[in-house]
Amino acid sequence: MDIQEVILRILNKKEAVVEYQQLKDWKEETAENLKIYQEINKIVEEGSNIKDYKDYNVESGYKRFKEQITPKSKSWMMYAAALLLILAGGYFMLNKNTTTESAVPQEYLAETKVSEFALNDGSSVTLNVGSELRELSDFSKIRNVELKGEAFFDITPDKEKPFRIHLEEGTFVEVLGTSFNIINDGTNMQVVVESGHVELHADGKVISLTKGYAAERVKGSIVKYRKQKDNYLSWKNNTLVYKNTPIATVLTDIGAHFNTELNLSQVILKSDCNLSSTFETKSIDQILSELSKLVQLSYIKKDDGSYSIKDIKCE
Amino acid sequence: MNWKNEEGYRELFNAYYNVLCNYAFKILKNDMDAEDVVIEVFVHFWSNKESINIEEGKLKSYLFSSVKNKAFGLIRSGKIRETHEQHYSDILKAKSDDSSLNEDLFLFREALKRSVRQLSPKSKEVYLLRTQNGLTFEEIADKLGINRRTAENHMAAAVKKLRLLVKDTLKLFEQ
Repeated sequence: MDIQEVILRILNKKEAVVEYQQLKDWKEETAENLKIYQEINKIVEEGSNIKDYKDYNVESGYKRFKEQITPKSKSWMMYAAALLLILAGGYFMLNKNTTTESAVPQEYLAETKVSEFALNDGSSVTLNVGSELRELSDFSKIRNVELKGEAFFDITPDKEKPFRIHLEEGTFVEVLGTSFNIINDGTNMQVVVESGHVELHADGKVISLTKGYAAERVKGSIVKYRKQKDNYLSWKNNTLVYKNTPIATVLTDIGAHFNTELNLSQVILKSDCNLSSTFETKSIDQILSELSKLVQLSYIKKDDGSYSIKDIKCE
Repeated sequence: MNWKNEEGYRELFNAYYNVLCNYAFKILKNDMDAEDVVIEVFVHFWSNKESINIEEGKLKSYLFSSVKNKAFGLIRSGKIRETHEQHYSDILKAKSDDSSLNEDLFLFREALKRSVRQLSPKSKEVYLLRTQNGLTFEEIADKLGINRRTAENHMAAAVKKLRLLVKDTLKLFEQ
């Protein structure tokens, strides 16, 4: 007996004896059946409670459906969606089926929160708050984009069409398919490779970077170095990971992540307390309260939003 | 109903939109994503109507499973507006005999919701006070200035009527 049949039998109150017995057998078969029977039966005994069942607006749904099937308005819809995205930030999914028709270079901006965008070649870009990515061409030959701010890239491999991210004047990163983090905010320029292989073109040179390597402009020239696995992706992953890290370093790092001033007392600075822990970066208050439990950190929050970290006790 | 012409498709949309959104919401836990997924399914059906051939009586299952697949796809792609990791992993692992995504139960709730709207005003009021607000018959009687017995009679009438209405409404989805 399927559920549809059960519903109908319960609704038809005057079941024949045979039907009643079948229904009884059915509901006793499994715990799940009993649950279903009871839900349906509520309508008979006490009236069913369907608070969780919502009313969606069918009219506006149909309107949106109509807009999406009218070919003329398609490009307009995409344009509007892109505009909305620029205004509001947030997620935006490009419909991959329409990539061949839409070749208008897009702009992506994460205005108020970290936002991930799908580019029409299948690559994805996560932009940190306040960062901006602009497509410079329609991706038919080289995939050219320009970045201002910080972003994590996951590039779809395409040997025919290298992906180029233009940074400061005359500097760009070229990749064939890989993932990496870039900062280019006018003051700092840094590239960290998470997987694969990228090339940084700067000052007339080509610097090759593979997994675990980073390059950064330090006092005018480009320096390549091995990147320690630290929290450089915390802005994207919303986690801060520490392994046997001195507490003063942990606190400085947390302050930097939340862009919040933490004043550390001498006790903290001199503490030989090391910490191994993973934090979800919901709020600085939450992390500090977790820390106060872990290592008996005592601190006060000041009116200007900064924190004064006073004391610590660790085993 | 022939869903391959505009009028028929509008009927199909009206019949299924709300229940499919509720179904998608059960998976995604977000109203906007739920509506996006359902609209996407309707767009897909309409755009491919020439090539889609559905057996008599299978349209319902086809719609529900399309919504389910699209919703799961959205979760896997990670391009979802909110994240409810624990909920997703629970729902992706849910066994096939789990009733939480049973389409007939969703249709039953949809039919019930529509049927309640068709009750007479007094019956509806009593029914909603009893079931949604959880008032006792004494409280309902007090609130509406009727006696307890009358309140109980209204409830009984509402339930009796609902049995018929729900059965009728369910017929909408039998094609």
